[in-house]
Amino acid sequence: MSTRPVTVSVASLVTIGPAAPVADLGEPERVRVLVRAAQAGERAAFGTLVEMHERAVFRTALAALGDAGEADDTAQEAFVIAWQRLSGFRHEASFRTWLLTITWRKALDRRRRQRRWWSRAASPDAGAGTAPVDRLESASADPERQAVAGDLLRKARAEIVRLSPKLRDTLLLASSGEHSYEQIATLQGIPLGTVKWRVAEARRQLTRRLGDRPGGPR
Amino acid sequence: MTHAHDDLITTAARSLVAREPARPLRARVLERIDRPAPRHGKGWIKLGLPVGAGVALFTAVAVSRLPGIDALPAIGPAPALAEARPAFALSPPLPDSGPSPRSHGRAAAASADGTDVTIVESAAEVAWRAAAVPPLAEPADLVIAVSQPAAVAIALLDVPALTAPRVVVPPIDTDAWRRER
Repeated sequence: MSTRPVTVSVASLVTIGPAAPVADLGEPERVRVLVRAAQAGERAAFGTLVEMHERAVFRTALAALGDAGEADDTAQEAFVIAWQRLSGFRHEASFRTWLLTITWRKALDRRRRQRRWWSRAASPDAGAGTAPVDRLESASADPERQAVAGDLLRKARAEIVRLSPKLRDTLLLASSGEHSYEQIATLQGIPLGTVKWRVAEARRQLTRRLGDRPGGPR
Repeated sequence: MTHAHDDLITTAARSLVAREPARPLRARVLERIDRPAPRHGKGWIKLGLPVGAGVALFTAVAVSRLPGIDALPAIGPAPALAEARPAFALSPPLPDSGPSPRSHGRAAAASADGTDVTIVESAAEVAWRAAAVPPLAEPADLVIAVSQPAAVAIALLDVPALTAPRVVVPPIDTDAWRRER
C-alpha cells in the first residue's frame, strides 16, 4: 500500500457538489470520503483521520494499559496497522469501530506482554495534576476537604485497578467518554447485556470495598 | 449505592482514562507509514506464510526424515516458483559442527548469488515465526535452506528440539514473484 500512487484527491470524492469542501460534510460522510481517499493512497486524508480519532484511540489503549506512554505507542501502532489494512476495509462497520477494534486488540496484546500492567496507574500519584478531578480539588478553598477528597480518589483508583480485568476494562471503556455501550460490546466481542452487567457489577464491588474503608463515603 | 459512591467511582474511573495524548499523533503516524519496510528482520514475516508453503514445508520436512536423507538443501512452495527462483544455496555452506548458532547472531550473510540471508537462531524460532505470520490468500515466495532439517521437523511438530539447528531464511520478494507470474 505504501507504494501505491496518489490517484484520487479528497475533493474529487465529494459527491454532493463539486464545490463543497470536505469540512462541510456531516461527520459520518466526511469520514467515509476521507477513508476512500486514504484507500486510494492519499496520505493527507489518512492524516486527517488520525487527527479525528487520535483521542478515542489513545483512550481506548489507555483503558487497557493504564500507562500513557504505552497507550501512546499503541495508538501509533494501531494507526499504522489501520493504514496497512485499509484496502481491506469494506465500510460494513463504521471506520471508528473498525479502528478502535484494532486498537483494543493491540492494547491487549501489549498488556499480555508487559509486566508492569497497571502498576503506574495503581500508584497513588498516577495522573495527579492532569485529571479533571484534580483541577476540581485544587479549586476547593478548604485544605482539609481537599486532602480528604484526594485521599478518597486515590483509594477509588486503587480499587478500580484491583478489579478483575473484565470488569475494569468495561468500566474504564465506559468511563472514557468515547464509547457507547453498543460500541463497547462490539469492541470486546460480548453481548450488550454483558457490558451493562459488568459496569453495574464493577460499581457494586467498588461501592462495597470503598464503603468498607475508613473514611469512605457514607 | 449512594450518590457519593457513585460520583466518586465515576470521577476516579474518568481520571484514569479521560486524558489527552501528550503529543499529536498525525506527524508520527505519517512518518511511520512513509518509512520503507526494512529488508531484514521482521520484513519477511509481514509477507506471511501461506498454507501452500506450510504444506510444502511439512512435506519437505517429512521427506527429510526418511532414512538415507541427511540434508535438505532448500524448501520451496511450488515447482513453478522453484523455476522462477532457484533454490537458495549457501556459500560457503554452514558447517555441520562448530561455533554455537548464537555466535552468528542475527547478522545478515550473503549467499553465492548475492542474496542476503537472515540467520535464525533456533528451530524454536522458526516455529515461532511460522506461527506468528498470518495466512495469505496466495502463496508467497518462501525458500528455506537448513543445515539440520530434522531439528526443524522437531520444532514444527512441537516436539522439544534435541539439537541446536541453524536455519537460513532468505528475504522474500513477493512483488518480484508476482511479476514473474
